Amino acid sequence: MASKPILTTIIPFDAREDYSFTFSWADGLPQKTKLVIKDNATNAVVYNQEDTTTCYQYKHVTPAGSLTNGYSYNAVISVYSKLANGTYIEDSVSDSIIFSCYSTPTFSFINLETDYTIQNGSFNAKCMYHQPEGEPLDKWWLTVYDISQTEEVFTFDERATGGLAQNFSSNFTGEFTTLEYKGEWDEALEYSFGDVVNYTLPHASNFVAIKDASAGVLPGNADIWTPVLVVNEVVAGLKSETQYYFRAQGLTKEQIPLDTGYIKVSCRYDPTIANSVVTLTNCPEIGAVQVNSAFKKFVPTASSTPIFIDDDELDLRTEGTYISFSDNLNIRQGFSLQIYVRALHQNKLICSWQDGDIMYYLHWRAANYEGSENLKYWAELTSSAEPSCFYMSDILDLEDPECQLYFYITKTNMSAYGHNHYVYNINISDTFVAPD
Amino acid sequence: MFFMNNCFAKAKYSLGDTPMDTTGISDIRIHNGVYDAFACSSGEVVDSSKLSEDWGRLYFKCLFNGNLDAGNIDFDVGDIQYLKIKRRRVRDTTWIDLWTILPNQTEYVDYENGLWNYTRMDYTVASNVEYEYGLTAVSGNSEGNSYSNSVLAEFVGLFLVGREGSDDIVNGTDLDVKITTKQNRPTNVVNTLNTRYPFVIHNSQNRYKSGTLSALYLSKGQGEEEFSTENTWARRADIEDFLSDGLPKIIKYEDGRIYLVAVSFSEITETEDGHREKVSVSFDWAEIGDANDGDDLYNAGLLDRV
Repeated sequence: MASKPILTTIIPFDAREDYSFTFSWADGLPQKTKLVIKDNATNAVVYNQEDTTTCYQYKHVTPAGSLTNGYSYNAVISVYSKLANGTYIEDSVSDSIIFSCYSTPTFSFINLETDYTIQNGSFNAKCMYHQPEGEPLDKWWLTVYDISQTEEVFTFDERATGGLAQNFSSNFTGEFTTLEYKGEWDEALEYSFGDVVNYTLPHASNFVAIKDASAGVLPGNADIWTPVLVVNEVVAGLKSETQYYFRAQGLTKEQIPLDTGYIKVSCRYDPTIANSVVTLTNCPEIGAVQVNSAFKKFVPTASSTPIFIDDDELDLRTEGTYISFSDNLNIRQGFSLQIYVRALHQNKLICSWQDGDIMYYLHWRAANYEGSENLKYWAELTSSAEPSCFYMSDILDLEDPECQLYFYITKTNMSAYGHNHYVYNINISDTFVAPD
Repeated sequence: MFFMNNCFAKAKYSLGDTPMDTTGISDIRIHNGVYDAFACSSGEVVDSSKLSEDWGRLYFKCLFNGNLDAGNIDFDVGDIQYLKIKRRRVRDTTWIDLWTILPNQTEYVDYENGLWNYTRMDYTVASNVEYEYGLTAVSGNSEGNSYSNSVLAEFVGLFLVGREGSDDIVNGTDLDVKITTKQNRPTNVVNTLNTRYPFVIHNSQNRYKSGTLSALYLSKGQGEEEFSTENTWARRADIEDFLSDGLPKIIKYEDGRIYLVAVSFSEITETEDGHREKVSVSFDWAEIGDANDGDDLYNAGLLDRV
């Protein structure tokens, strides 16, 4: 009695391609194999073929298209020996094993491509996972390598996704031509699905769903939503002027391996965008370039956690909040202040500074002049000393009282004849060159 | 008080004197608004129509781009041991280290106020080339962030550049400039007895340019664009001294050509062209290295080794 052949465990495969069923058999080399595959739900036979082309090999190849993606099947394999008269005799039949067919998942970076330049020291790498039949992504991980691909400069542990994609399980088997989406998203990104579709799809923080909306092209599938999972991880500590390889890998619930491959990117960011450290001037008269650097460290303090608007403005509208610039500050001479500000509170303090024991206060004023319907605006500077000094800006008519204004305040030394004397000047403009 | 229809002394203390500062301003605060930028400078700002970039005079500048950083670096100036300045052509990969700058080589260091300031001139740039300069501060044997910026180097005419620190480092003119060049590749043609064609042998790795340069040097006149024809012999004498000092030079021209050269023949000739004050200086030169290569510039003494 010959022993049973044992079919190797099958990781889900794409039925649109040839697949080689492998097995082991202790009693020699088979001279013919027969594979019977049944739909696991109905037990209907979907494949029943003999294969003599793989004679003396422990495998049986099913041609592309023999099965359908999105279905589960069970399979048994029979092994045959050839008799002297040329006929085959079945030696034994394997036990059945269950497996599934799935389209090859898409797993790729959506905000990285080869030779992409990252313009910051940190980067939020986003990967899109999509499997038309709804096979969920089980876990994924991201590794950043140096240019030699030998040293890992960033990695994070395998992260389980919680099977978010299962919610939209379906048996969609076609290719997308036109897509719709649903989900909650926060920005538009260009999604690419193989070479079939380029479609601008809003991006969700966790997942969106897509469907084929090309009516008539794939009848019956127009209402089937299939999941797109977007996973992300922030990579920090990237150095400027450095090249890296990004690589994300993952596993689906059925253990289909995923790999984006190595994506080479450059990192180049210019910390001088905010405050220029290296100032360069072309000097044509001497055929040279002047290189100037002046830099300093200065850290102000906030009365409470600062609130930023679009990472571009500081919101100090909450009563009692302020920013204090006092880090080693000691201004003994004349100085100038440049303030770019909007939405000033009327008749409130804008700016104050301490000079020895004397406090100076700059207020933003608004009032109706007699005979005028519209409010007039100005700034005034007073001091805590008695008698107080008093300086006033020009009076402004502002259509929008919340508009952005530019204050240029100077303190100038007007000393003469041994008498020290300083004069303040306050200029306000609503038309100016906005800072970067 | 109204004076010429203006409120001359607008309020109670309008005519009061400004109180004298005693110990200096030590704390400035801002309140009650949405702030896009805030800067404080010593004295008046040169161009008050825009936010100052003059870090030599800025006490601080805050752009509120998601942070409160008001200086322009993220480490303490007092910790810096030295600065390293490097240069490369934009889209090139190789940096040339230009200078190492120690604190005592800067124009201004103020540790107390956390300020460091220096200016250097780079004479080894070619015209019509965009260069990127990088600055790295080294502290405790570790390099900080690299700060970089780029500039398009452009000039008109011809420049002869000598070693930095020499009296006459750069000599420029755009008058009657003539540069002839040829590519040299020494070869031997060996004629044989029994073949129709000879052998051509390259016995050395030599591959360089050489040529002749001729230009008219005049002295600067009073106006911006004016030249003086008086005592041009003195100007020529200076140029000839400069050319015959035996040291490597850089020849660079407005079209982007740049050569690291030596004056290759002993004669530096003057040719009069119709007038005794219109005399061109000409000499032969040969390339002795790559003017875009840091090592070659060091070896030629045109850059100090960093």
